[in-house]
Amino acid sequence: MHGALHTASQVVFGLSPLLVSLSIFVLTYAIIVTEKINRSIVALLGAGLMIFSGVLNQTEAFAGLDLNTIGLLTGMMVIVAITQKSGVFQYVAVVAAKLVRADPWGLLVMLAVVTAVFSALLDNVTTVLLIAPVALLITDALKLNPYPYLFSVIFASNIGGAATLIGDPPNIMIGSAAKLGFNDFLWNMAPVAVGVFVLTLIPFYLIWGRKLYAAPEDRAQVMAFNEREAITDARLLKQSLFVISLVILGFVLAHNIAQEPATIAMFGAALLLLLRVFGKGAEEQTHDVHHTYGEVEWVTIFFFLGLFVLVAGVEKAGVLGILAREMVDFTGGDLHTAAFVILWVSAVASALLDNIPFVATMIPVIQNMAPVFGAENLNTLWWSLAMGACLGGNGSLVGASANLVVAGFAERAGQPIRFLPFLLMAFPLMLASIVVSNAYLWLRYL
Amino acid sequence: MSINAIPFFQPTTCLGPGENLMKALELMLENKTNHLPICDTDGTFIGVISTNAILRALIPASARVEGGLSNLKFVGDGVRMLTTHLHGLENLKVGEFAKKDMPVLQEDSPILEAVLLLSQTHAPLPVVGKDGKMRGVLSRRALLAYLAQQAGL
Repeated sequence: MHGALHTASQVVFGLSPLLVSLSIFVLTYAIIVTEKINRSIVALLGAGLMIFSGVLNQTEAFAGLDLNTIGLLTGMMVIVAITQKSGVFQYVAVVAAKLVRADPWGLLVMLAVVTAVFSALLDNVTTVLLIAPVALLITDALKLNPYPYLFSVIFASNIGGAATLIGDPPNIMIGSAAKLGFNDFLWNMAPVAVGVFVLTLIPFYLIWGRKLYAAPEDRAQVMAFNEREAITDARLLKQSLFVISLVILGFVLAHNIAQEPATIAMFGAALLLLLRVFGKGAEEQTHDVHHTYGEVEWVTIFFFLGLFVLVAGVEKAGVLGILAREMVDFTGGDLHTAAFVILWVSAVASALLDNIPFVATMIPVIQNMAPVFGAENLNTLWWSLAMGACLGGNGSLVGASANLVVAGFAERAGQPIRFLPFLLMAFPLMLASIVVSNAYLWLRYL
Repeated sequence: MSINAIPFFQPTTCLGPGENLMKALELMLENKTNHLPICDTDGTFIGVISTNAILRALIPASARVEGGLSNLKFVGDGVRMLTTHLHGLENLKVGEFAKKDMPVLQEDSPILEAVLLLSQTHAPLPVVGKDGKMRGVLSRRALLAYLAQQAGL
């Protein structure tokens, strides 16, 4: 994301670019943290200030935009916006519940598996948005407390998201900046995600699983659910599954066909849109397409755009180079220590703050460490960052957007998930997952 | 001429907001009505509890709330769940399920105003006095009966 930044900054009033860019950056991040103003507005205003103050010119700001990340995110959002209408999430959740004969513990495991798999292949927020209501419905029918189920849906979405390139925005950013593909993530991140997932089920069982009970008559009611009725549009479902399979195949073969993920995702989005509107009149096409584009999460996209410019500003002014040198000094230039520090700091930071700005900042910092650790060793640091940022999201209710979505839904449905009780259980579980990641890093890469 | 002229239905019951939904349901079934007014202890009008609200309380919360399930066909008849929820009505307060943002008629509202407001709702409207206290409920049928009488039908 850097490289085109050559011109010297002409900062207003002859102030130090370092100081001005850092002030804008810190102020912007501070306002984002307060959540008083929508984060996308704050990021765009901060980006504008970076340019107006002379830290960057517009050309340099544009060079900072990682369009591979933006393209991949937008393309997948379009695909998900269309797919979710088919009822496939509900269908799979009901099938999963029936597979375990509506046994309460089996149900918890199955819903977690379904959430993790969908979160790995699609975005976490959409997954939990569609799985949480089904989880609530089934626990309602079984007369069970929904809390353990919603809790495990949150955990599964963040763990599943960590497993693939497209599972979680931090991975998309890291993959794009470090030229790591779908297979690299699958090969390096999926094993740790599976391990953490399985190990997390143990405390879930001890805390909740062994005490869960549902009456046979209530289980029979769930067994009588007809999953086929959950499919609202069979044609749409086939089209969506076809395109998603094609896109994932594209990601897997990206290296062989020498294509970037954004191209594959955008092409998939266009293909699905084509299938969607095929044979319809012009007016209906406009309506459908307009509606689908409307469901793209523009707040996230504009947030990313603003962040990229902000980060390009502090990068050009040399702030991130200094930060990288400080981190190298702190770790004594030792790769082991650097990997562990990045893992733990990312995890704690991502538990309490939005992991997207954190990762956006850390990417150039790690790139700046290349001369010390050698470019071939940087991958270890990328995996540290990815594990910390994705799994750290489980640490608190504000750790990831998906957590907030589940909490919001639960609140409306009269089953509130409170911040502190969640934190008291989730934070230690998150730390345990980081211990597992630490061991994995150590055994596999160091 | 104001709606004072119409002999509107005097409510025999005005529920307190702390009453439970089961009580409301029993009264509705007993009195064959779809709506019951809700008042403070001093008779100040608060809102209306309807059979709609009770049906809403019976469907699973996962479908009731914003962002919930929009399709429940796959659940089947759901009678077991519905009867369970029906027993749960005892724990739900009418105040939480009451409709409170409805238009309200004043005792001295003009007849035309009453016709306009009632043409826009699917429920009878409460009539309150200047003191905010509940005076009665004006139904669409009572209003039409009065107008028919005035027209000499």
